[in-house]
Amino acid sequence: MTLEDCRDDLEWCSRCSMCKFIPMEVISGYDFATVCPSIARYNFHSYSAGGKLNMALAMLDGRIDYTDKLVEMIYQCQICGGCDVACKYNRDMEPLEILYQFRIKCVGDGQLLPAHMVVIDGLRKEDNMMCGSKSERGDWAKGLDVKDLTTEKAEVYFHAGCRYCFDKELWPAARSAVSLLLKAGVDVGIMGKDENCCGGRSYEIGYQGELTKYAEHNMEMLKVAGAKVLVTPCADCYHAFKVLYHKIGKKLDVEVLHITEFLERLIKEGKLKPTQKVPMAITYHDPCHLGRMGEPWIPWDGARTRGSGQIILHEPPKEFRRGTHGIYEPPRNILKSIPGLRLVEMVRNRERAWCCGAGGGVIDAFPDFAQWTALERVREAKSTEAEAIVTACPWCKRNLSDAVEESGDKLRIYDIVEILEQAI
Amino acid sequence: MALSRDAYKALEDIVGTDNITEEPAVLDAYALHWGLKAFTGNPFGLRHEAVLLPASTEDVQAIVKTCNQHRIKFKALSTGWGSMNGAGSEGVIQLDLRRMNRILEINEKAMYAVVEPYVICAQLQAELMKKGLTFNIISAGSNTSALPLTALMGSGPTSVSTSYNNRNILGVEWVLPTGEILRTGSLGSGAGWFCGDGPGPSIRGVMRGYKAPLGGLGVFTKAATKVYHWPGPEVLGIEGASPSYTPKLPETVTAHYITFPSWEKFTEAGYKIGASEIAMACDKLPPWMLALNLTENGREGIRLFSEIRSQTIDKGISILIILGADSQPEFEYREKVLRRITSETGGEFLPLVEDPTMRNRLIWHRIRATTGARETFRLMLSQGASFGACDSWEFAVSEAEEGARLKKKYIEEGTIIDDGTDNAWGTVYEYGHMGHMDELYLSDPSVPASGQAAFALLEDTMRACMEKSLGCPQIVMGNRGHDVFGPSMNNYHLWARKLKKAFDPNGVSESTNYITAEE
Repeated sequence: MTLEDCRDDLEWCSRCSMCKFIPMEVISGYDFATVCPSIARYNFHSYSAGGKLNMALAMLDGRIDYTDKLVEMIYQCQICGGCDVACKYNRDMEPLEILYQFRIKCVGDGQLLPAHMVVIDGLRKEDNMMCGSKSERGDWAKGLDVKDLTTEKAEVYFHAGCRYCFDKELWPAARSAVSLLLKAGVDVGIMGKDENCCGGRSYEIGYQGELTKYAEHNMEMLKVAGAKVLVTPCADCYHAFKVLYHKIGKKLDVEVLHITEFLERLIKEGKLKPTQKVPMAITYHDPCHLGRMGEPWIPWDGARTRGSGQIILHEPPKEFRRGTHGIYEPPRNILKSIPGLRLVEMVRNRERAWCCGAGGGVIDAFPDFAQWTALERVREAKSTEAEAIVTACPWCKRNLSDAVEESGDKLRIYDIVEILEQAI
Repeated sequence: MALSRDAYKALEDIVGTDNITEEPAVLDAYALHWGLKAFTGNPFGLRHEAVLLPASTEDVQAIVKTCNQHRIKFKALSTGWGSMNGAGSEGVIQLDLRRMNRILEINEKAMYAVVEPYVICAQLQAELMKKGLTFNIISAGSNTSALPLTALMGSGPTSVSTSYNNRNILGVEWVLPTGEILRTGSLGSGAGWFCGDGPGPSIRGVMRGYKAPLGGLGVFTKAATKVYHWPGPEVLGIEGASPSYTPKLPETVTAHYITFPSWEKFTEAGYKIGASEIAMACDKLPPWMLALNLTENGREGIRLFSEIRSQTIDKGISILIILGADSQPEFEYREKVLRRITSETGGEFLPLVEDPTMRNRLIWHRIRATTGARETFRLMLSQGASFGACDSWEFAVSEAEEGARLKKKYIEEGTIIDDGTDNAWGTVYEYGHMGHMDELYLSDPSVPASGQAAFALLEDTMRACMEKSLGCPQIVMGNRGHDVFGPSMNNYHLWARKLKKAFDPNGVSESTNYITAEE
């Protein structure tokens, strides 16, 4: 697939501006009606998905060439998929795919952002997106009595992900996740320093070769380890393993679960019993990659054709991913199972959630924009009168925590496993 | 023709460096409009010289004065859906009003709301509903500006109970093409926003007239719109995820989709339903749009359309009626009246819409006007709309009847979509005898035969307007169209031209899609 392959959709955008807002049906007030951080922050139409489609078409038509500003606009976007859901409320087209392809074209044409080059260099040398040393990747798990899959076999492979492995402040959450699994009697193991990046974030920046490389590596690693289930507490990794690998024809031969899906299962089976009261009002932030982008990949190999009267049809019939079947309920069911905890929803929840701001390489290249986006989420959370935001992704936790710290706010930010551990 | 550096600097000083750009990629994002492909074969129109993001009336005024000083043309847009939002001539700067996005006032007692141009209809309606109010959302959808000065005709699915924008405009703050600020209606005499006609200058006919001036007469920076009673809950409980939400509505809000055996009976029913003042919406939603509205993808839409065709198009002409009441007895009265009118005019209820889930979805889709793009662009590249006069209900229906007749041959030759010929959308206005109807047709300009058919059909409808006295089509824009229709309509074009000249002596308010001072 290339940007040129998306030409039909590029020409099909009707500039309705739906991509800038949450679906019209669920707008419940003046505030919190927007879904796209990029257009909300920078205002020119070119920052919206529709605007990016327009620019992509202009480029294919030879009307414009790369400039620093154009490349900046392409990357001042978290690729959060909010626009994709909003567009597909009404339309049968693929705006998110175009945003990916525009970035892939940028990388192919050598149009790179210096901040991303540093991260990608680190990835190529150390197999992680955090510019950390590969030899230190397993340090987060020191002292945990968990199997080492490089030497032992286990039913479940726990993949911590780059952020958890190298962001020391977040280690307690990753350790809590493993502890809960062990407490429930799960036969789980980790790869320690031999764990590798999933490749997902690099794909979102436009480096599609890296995704293929890590998909192949991880497939091989899983085969050797003999695990039947892959569990990750990172929404980005989950999306890569479950969705992106399938998309590029490297579907994993194991069950891929986010930690929230697995924990919900263990609670239902009675293997984990949240009995301790956690008296707190919290709101849940849906990570984009677990929520709307976490629904399964639906393979389709076909073309757009013209039916009777010039109707545009997809042949064979195409089923679109519209964010309907994302992972929304498992985390909520976990939270609802905790005594004393009161869940209050933000206006923008589930498929229409506002992004935390970290995704798509924004946290690396445009940290101020990442923080601006996170602060908007914090403002929304505070409007619910919740005492804390609970999320299920280390990137969200990091970015939201930084925003709260910078603003001097008292709102607390938790990973969901930390809250569950308090209840058990 | 690039802006002189002096002019650019002057504009930059007004809005700040971050809010002005000449970046070619940004300019192309503003130059592209789907509708242009149908007319020129190229979706890109003319590039603007720059795009600016003013944040206030003061910004707009300063920009307009600078434009007069430097003889630069300007064109403002709000949400920007439609090719008329872009420059129609060279040397134009675009003002994107999206930073002017505040709801300034909701006055429950005087029943009006004051907004800036980039408040979208969904936002305003959601805030109004919290106070038991609603307003007229135009048929294009709630993703458009709530300012009652932006759409062509300004009619919407609920216009039977919420009127249309010509008549909903109250006080307006207007930056004239000279840079002066004019406050119209009661606002002009410092009496607030509550009235469009005075005390103070009432120039609603000049300002908006039959159609909005499409950016050709300066910039409207604030306006009050009339608001109406909403009998539903303050906030709707909505379950499920996109694209099929299931709203919870009280039992005192319902809908029926009714098919009448002939155009005559349909007309009679429209008059009776309007006069009885029972309906929240008297919405001629054609079966094609109904099918697309209620389905999750285009293919399903086609399937549903063929399924309901025998119960709708093959039997006659259909309309959606939404009823809402504050109490059960009132609701029962409305329902009883509707059933009686339906019985008297030979109407039949469509079972699909009697299903509670489908019914509630449809009601909410129409009251919030959420699915405009679904009903038009999901299966096709281009949508055309002809006729569209604001006249008696009977007159409006005759436009739909003529539209269906004219479309038939193009559908039979397979060049435009088979929507069953009756794809006219319209509404009764204000519980009364007035109404609106425009005939929609879907084509693909990238297929030459289809693009040509769409043009030929448009010409047919224009000819019918002249030969059969079916009014001035809403699609008439620009000098050429007005010069054709003006002589048949009291030479309105000569007056419009004089007004343009008087209001815009330097010709800086770009008006290719309105009318220019030059004959």
